Amino acid sequence: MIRVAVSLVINRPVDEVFAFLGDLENNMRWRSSQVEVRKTSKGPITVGTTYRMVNNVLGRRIEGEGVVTEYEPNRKYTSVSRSGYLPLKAQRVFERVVGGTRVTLILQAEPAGFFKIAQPLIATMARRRIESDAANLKDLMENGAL
Amino acid sequence: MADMEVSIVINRPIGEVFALLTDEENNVKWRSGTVEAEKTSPGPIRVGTTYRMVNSAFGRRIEGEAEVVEYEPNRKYATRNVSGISIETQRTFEPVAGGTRVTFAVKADLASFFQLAEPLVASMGKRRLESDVADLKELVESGAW
Repeated sequence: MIRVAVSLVINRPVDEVFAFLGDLENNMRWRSSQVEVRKTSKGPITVGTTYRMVNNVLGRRIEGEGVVTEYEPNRKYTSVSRSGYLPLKAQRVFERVVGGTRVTLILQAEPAGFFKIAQPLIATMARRRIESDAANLKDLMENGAL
Repeated sequence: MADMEVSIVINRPIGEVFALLTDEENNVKWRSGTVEAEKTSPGPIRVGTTYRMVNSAFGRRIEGEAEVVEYEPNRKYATRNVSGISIETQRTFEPVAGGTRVTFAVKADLASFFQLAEPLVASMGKRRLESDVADLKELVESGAW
């Protein structure tokens, strides 16, 4: 089991940060491994909303379905992705702080197959990637590019 | 033009590092934005070799054809895009104690493509390249490659 948590403060109001990060389709704008995301259920985003997700990890294409399992506006957002080799749970926790919003990104994965063998390596690389993606997200949001 | 430069020491012999980093098809294994890389010319890799490249970054899909413009074994390798947006890449190699120093340089006309400010694109691109290069070092040195 791999668990990676990264926390950052984005100098934007919590509702704006939640609106952006509470829609997985926006992953395309800042998650470096995200190749494709499409909402596959109807209606507004809520618990049960589904997405088709395609990620590119170490040269391997990982397709899966993401399901929203927690949706508490301006507080918490969780999705679970079912895919063959890299099933994962992604949680985003939001907190109002002086000057903006603290976001904590938590990833838990249960690697199988190739990804199980390379587990310690995958954990280090996942952390590095989330840290670098999160720093880019902060840059994009604070510069008004998102 | 966004200019980025990142340098790293990989603890493996220069011949191995050069071979690995002068085959663009290997990019899909370590460059986070590379979705497809396919050699489109016959024969061994040399000046004139072409690749079809598909990248995905910040919500945009970037397709283009890249051509090898410099190929000096164990010293220097460079490509430029011949279609799509303007991108030039250079990789220089240097033997050092315990391995190989590689310097990656990228020059690309990305600011207008992404419609973002130049310094923002340069800083985000550099951050991503740094994290990719750290992954590359780890993959190669751990034998997971």
